[in-house]
Amino acid sequence: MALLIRDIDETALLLRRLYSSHGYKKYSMSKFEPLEFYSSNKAFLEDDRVVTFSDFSGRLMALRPDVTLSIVKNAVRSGESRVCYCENVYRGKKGSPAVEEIKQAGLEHIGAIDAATQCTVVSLAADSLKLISDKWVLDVSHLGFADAALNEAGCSEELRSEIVSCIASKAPHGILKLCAENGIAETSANKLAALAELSGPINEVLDRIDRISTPPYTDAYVLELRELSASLRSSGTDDGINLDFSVVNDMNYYNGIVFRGYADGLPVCALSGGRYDRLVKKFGINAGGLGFAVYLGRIEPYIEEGGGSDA
Amino acid sequence: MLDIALPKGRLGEKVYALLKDAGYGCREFEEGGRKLIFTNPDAGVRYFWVKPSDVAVYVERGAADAGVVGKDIIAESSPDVYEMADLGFGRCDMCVAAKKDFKDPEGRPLRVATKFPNVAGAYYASISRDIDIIKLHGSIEIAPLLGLSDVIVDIVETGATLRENGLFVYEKILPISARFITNKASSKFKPDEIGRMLSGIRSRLS
Repeated sequence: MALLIRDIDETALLLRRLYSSHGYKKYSMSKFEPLEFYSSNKAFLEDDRVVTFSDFSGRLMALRPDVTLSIVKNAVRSGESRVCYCENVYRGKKGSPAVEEIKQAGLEHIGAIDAATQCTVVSLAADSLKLISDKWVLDVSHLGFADAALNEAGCSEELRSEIVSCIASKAPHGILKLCAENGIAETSANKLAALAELSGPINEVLDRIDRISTPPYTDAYVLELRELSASLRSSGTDDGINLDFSVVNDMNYYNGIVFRGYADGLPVCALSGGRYDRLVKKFGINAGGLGFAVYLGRIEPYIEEGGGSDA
Repeated sequence: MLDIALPKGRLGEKVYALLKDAGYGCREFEEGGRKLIFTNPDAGVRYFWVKPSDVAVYVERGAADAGVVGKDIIAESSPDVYEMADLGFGRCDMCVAAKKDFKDPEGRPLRVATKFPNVAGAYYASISRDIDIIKLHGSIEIAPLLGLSDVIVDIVETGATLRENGLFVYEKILPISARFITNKASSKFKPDEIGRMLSGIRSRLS
């Protein structure tokens, strides 16, 4: 066990200071929005269950299930945004009709996103994990590889979703079985199975990236990952950052680079994020989006009383 | 040290035999008795017995680094774990079963009794059939006999229980077998230990 956290509010403050020191301004938002706002963006919500209520004029409102949507909506006026936040979201508890209140801290970068921005945001995700535990892993992936391999295999929407679920649970046996049952070519099946298994230190995995590549579609993504790797190495933050192509997050929401962070002492994912250009474009902003959230509410039950570091 | 959640019963015994063969034997485990936790520090392994339907909870929450669970439990509860290997044993099928004279009452919702409401719900949603789910915890076979439901969705191994109760397999929904699952964070922080165990398992399956 190597958790450094003593108090969740203190950690939230440290995270906000970290993000502010890199130019991300504090953003405060309303706890609720009109239900229609979430209904019309259902594809971008992790869970479409929302807590609803009527305001005093009878308008149907919903407790915020997601932070990014509100930030992107607000960015429409300026076309860009670099903000950090610490807010609660309200979601349906997994496998239960109960409502879960989850405290999240994170940052969102809406605007032009270049290699340097990607490096900064991934480094800040790694720095966030360093505040949580002295041992951590940030798994980075690029959804373009899974997308290209699935397109090459010619999967139906239903099969696509089943294969993505097997990739996420590192189940190559499941992928090979599904491909065999659906007449997918062996080369495509092997590539999809490799996506489930290919992981390790960023440079070592880049040497084996051919196993999951679909040239020429993935050439730009290989370059993007090589650039990210070089930038992380030159900024001295590549240690602890892995490539792991089983990270698929939500392919409706994210595109491009995605990541998930784990901290020793926590059995659950501590952080996740990635590129969400599709969401930004849906709001009419001609730019990209990149961000992540640290799930403070999910970390809190694992903090030992009197634990943590005084450093 | 790897903490392994074993499903209590025949499946767990079979999993232990596989792991013992892969070099993870534990004398304490073989001595039997009423103990639930067994350690072999030399092999770097600690086993514990849990109810089969709880294995995925122990692994997802990190109380166990790894465990073995049926695909039926994974399909029902969608735990956030890695499903690293299909062990190929504990084979059976998730089926729709009904009385011999069953005809789908297409003009009304189908009443479905099951221990697996999520699996049943997803299956009928995939064929756009409106259903009324009746969640039960056991003795599912008697539901159609007493008129509680039109059909049941349950796991069927040999079909003997169904036959003895005048039911038959109407449709097979999902093939089931035992899966080796690991906690995602454990896979990051104990990659060598988990990798060694997985190689040991895979080499004995092929």
